[in-house]
Amino acid sequence: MTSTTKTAGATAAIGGTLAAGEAATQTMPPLGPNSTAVPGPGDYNGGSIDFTRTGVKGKESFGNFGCDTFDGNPNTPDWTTANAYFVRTVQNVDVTMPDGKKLRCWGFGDPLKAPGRELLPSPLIRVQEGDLVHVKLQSSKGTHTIHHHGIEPTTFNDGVGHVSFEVKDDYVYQFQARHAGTFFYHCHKNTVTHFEMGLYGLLIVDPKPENGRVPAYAGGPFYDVEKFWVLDDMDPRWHQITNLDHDVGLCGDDAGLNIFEPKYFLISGTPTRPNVLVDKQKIVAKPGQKILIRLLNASYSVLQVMFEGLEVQVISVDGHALNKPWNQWLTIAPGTPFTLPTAQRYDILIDTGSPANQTKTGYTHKVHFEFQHWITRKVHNAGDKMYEGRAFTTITI
Amino acid sequence: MKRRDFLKYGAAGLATAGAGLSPFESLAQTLTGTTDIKLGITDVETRLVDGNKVNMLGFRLYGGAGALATGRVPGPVLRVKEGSSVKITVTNDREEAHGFEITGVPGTKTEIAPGSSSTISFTAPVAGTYIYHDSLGDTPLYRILGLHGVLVVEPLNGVTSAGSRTPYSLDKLVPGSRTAVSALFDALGTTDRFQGGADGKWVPAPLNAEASIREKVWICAAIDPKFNALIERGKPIASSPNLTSNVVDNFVPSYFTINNRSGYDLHDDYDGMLPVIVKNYIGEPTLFRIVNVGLAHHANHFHGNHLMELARVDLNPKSSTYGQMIVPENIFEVDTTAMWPMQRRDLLLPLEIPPDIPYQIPVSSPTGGQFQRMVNKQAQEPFPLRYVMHCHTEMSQTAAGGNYPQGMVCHWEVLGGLGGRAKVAG
Repeated sequence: MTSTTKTAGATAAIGGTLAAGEAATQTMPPLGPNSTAVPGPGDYNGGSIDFTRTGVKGKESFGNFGCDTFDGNPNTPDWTTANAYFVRTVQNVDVTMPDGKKLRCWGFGDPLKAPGRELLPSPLIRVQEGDLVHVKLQSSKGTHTIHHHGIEPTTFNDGVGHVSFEVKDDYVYQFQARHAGTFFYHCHKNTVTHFEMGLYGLLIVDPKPENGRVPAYAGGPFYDVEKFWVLDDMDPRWHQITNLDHDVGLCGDDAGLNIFEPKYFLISGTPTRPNVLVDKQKIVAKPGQKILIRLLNASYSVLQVMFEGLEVQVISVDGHALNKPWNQWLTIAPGTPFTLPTAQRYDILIDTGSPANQTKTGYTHKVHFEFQHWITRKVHNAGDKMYEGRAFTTITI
Repeated sequence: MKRRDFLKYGAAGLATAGAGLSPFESLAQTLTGTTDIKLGITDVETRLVDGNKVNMLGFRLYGGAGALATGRVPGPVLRVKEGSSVKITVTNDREEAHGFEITGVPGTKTEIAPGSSSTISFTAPVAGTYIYHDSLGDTPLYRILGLHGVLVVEPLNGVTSAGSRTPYSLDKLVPGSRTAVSALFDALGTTDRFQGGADGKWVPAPLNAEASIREKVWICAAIDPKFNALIERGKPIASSPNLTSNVVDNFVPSYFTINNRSGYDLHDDYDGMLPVIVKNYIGEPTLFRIVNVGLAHHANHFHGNHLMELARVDLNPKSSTYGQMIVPENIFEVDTTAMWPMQRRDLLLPLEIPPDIPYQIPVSSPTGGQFQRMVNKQAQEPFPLRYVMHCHTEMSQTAAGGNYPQGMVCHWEVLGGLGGRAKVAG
């Protein structure tokens, strides 16, 4: 898409000083080390914006709150040159579940860097602290948005339809990554269903390298092994109705979206029945190494987590490091369960050489996950070999 | 589901809210200098976001104004000073027995027969956020039908050695918690991140108000209309042992509320409502006291700023501190917080400049940041910046089985930069 599809060319920018021509003549800075593509002409998205056609200046009503919400392909307000640039499309992805059924999911695709790579979770966005980031969303199957969860940009770049707009064809989201840590991105259109369908991926902000190595955060620990554990649960009924109607429930029909009965449980996009671990799920480390686990609860369950045998330390929560004057790392003793609400992230460091852990080398330790019902707290489908909401992965030292 | 216009609150209500008059002045006066509170249990009709109506049970405040006088869900926010003597008399206007209890405060549990009153007296406990509710028969039934409210206890010794006010009695905290709370509240107004000088400090709400510019009370709940259908005005509540013998297992909520409103009904505050929306300038840190009186496990996610997790209740039955309010030694900064049933959490919204708005433009040789350009009116994107808060366990974002996002979602606003309120006031 080019700027010819943009709306509102005739309307003057409100308080704007970055006229289109001015912005276009800005030179592109050198490419950041973690970008997936060189920003090019397709990245330019400056120009005027009619905010009255969005939630920013539009009149809010019951009707446009969800059902007929603002949509369009506006320019990016206060567009400036980026040094990290990504493109995301919306794709179908069918996952074969343990009962042999194929479940239709949706994922964000990456047409620039690695088309065809795994879409569940969607491809990682990885940038460096201080990067000025552009993420261009190319919608299909109706409108979508991207909310970079835990990233806190302006309202227009925050991806929530009823206070800004949903993306019909394309939009370039703009933010500058301040805090090094673990974030994620997901579609915020009819979120109840689009997040469930799989439209999410991790977003990691690395600190600047120190002596050639990248710590977990500026001044934080270095790590030798890094693993992403993204936990999800899926209710096939939801996937069926959402795939049939991308706007399901939006304008008034009772789609039963207050009832969630997941049958499938996934660790980092791979179903956990039979619980045969794949490389992206299990951790293998050498004695003395430090392991960093980036843990995200992307399910709609209360997620209970328990590390057998190993002492672990939470070093960062929701992308904010535990290094402030009012907080510190949280040590969790072996075998102690803890819970995560939907969307929370813990960065967990395991020092295999610590006094507590150095006697645990030469073993494989299980890490248990329980998916508990959001009202009753009961484990889903307890006792059912195929559909029980329990899973595990392992750490071998 | 039929759609409807938002006509419930007329122009008069809008005008009052817009003029900044407190709709709670009359309540405030009844609470000033007294700890003698008279509540009633009565019928309340609630119009849900889709226009459907349900019967609820609510508390009313004798001597209160407007909805507080006739009965409101949630009940009035009660504020008392730590250590003071408090007397609460509850009158039951209904045809069935009810109960009253302040969770975590011994000696506050009582039962009230139909048409009669009961009085409890207690010494106000350690500073924090408490839930009062009807727990008769140790069932959540009457709580989810509307009989719930918040008691705020203000500290006696809440000021740090550096002079910053906090919501907690610092002398009653363990040293680690005292250090953490002091470090955070002392940082407000004094760092690059938390600007504003003396005006950038947190300011508690007055004892005589339900809420203030820098302090809001949010009561999360959920409604399953088949339970509400048991209520009929003027009659004892209908008996339905099949339903009420196991409320949790039978509870299939289809409306998810904050202060008994949801979705579009939370898009602004109007006269007579317990306010929800924060509209502040940078450097005006704001305290949320959030409780969950419902039965769903919520994951409240704030856009725009991370929040500091202050006090919470230990809800782990296996823990040695089960049921106790914990002011942590380790204050996490989160964008999502676990609001399990009967959780009471205090969270500080720092009102810092949203950190990921481009702050070094151009990135190659920075000359300035976008937020300052917005303040200078040199930017395209205008104030206010509006950031949503919603529960990320997304089933709660629906109403009547669909209608995203007419559930537990609201927002908060950044009206402008540092010192903006003073500039507007002239």
